[in-house]
Amino acid sequence: MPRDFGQLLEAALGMLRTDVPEAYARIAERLESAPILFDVDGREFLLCFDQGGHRLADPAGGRQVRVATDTGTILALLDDEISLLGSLRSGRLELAGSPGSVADFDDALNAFLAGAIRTTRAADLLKELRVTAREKGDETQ
Amino acid sequence: MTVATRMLKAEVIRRADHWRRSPASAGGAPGHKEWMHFCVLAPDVEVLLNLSLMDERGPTVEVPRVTLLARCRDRRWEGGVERCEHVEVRGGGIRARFDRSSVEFERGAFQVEAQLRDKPLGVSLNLEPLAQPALTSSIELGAGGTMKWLVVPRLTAFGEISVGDRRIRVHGAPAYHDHDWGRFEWGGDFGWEWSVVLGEQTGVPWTLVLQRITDGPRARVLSQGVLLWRGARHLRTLHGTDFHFEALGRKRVGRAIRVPTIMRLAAPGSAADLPALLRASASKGGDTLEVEVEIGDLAQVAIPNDRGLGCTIVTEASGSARVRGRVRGEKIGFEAPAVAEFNRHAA
Repeated sequence: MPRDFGQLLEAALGMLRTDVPEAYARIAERLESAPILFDVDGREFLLCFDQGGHRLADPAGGRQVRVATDTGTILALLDDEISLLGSLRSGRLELAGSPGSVADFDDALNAFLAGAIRTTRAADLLKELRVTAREKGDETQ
Repeated sequence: MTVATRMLKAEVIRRADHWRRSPASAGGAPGHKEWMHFCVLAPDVEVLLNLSLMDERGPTVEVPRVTLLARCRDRRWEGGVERCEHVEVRGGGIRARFDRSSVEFERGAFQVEAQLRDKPLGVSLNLEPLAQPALTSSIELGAGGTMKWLVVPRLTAFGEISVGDRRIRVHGAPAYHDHDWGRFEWGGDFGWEWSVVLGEQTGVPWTLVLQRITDGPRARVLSQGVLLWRGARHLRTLHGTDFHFEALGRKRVGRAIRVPTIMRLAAPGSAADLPALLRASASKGGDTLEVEVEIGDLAQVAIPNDRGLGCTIVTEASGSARVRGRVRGEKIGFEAPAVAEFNRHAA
């Protein structure tokens, strides 16, 4: 059973914490006061940063930004098959929050990507995400 | 080309084109960057291959990467950059293995194999040098940074390039090679514009390499010049105040490929501060040279900066060149394919 997006995101952040601490610190700094509510493939979870670490929490907690999409769209974004703006315009990605919170999310995303290209282990997680996306795609057919 | 000339070129390459390796790999200072770069301009496909060893921040020394890009005539650039795990590089030698890619110099020619892990793209080529190599003096790159490069400006390529399910035979296509090494920081206060014009493809004997290295904002030129070969012979170098270089117009990146592809998300814009045309003119002692390189399709490679979390974007471009002038009493006038490269900080 492949891990779902939330589990893979948690693993990726753990990897950045070890391999690229500067990227992890930037993400934590940006999101410490702005928890993100993810709704991916219909599963909701809250990504929180506190006390120098991250955790996935109950979606009922307070959030600043909501991100709703599916793993197929996330993969298409990572593979540059669709642009961020294109995914928003087409409704494949929904992003909601105050301008300041969305700007913090964008900065955290950039730090995440900058960290990901600095570690070899990101490639393995990306492969796993492909398996997850494929299985989710099969489920919806 | 005489046997003596061929032997001399091979000897220069054997003596000068070897991997330097990072001093940090033996307990010395970190910061070393090094790569071997190959371009092949076959009639049906262009290929760029780069094998690199880069010291990154902290304890991470000699990060090995393979970058392989190809552009079939009817398609845009495709390819990827992959960090390697199984690497064999001996300092002082040319032979190197980066996962499924390798380079070797034997019997007066490079044998180059490359295959990406995640994309169906590969090359198997024999590259025979046709022109005398040139070795530059140390070039300033940012605060305290320096780089040297060895250029083998013209080779002839034989072998096969595979793009997807296409197998493209290469028979005598013009090619280019350089080897760069130094100690500098990606993201430092520098940028460059570079182009090679391979006249041999259109039956003319001229090969040109243009380069300009500036500070980051391109307000100050650190180094610039044009190197000119006629056949195997390095005929002329014009540089400094003998050389005038302009980057004109604005080239839109559009949906050009960027590798690693995830870096398109980090900097999604289509504006990239790239020119549509490079124009260079040189004049000294009765020699004159006018070169224009029109910038074509683009492919971008994102390289992590050594400080902070930013990136340097190296843009590779296909191009077409027009060259006019008179050098050593000989009139020059031809059009030929070119490759250009731009180094910019990510927006």
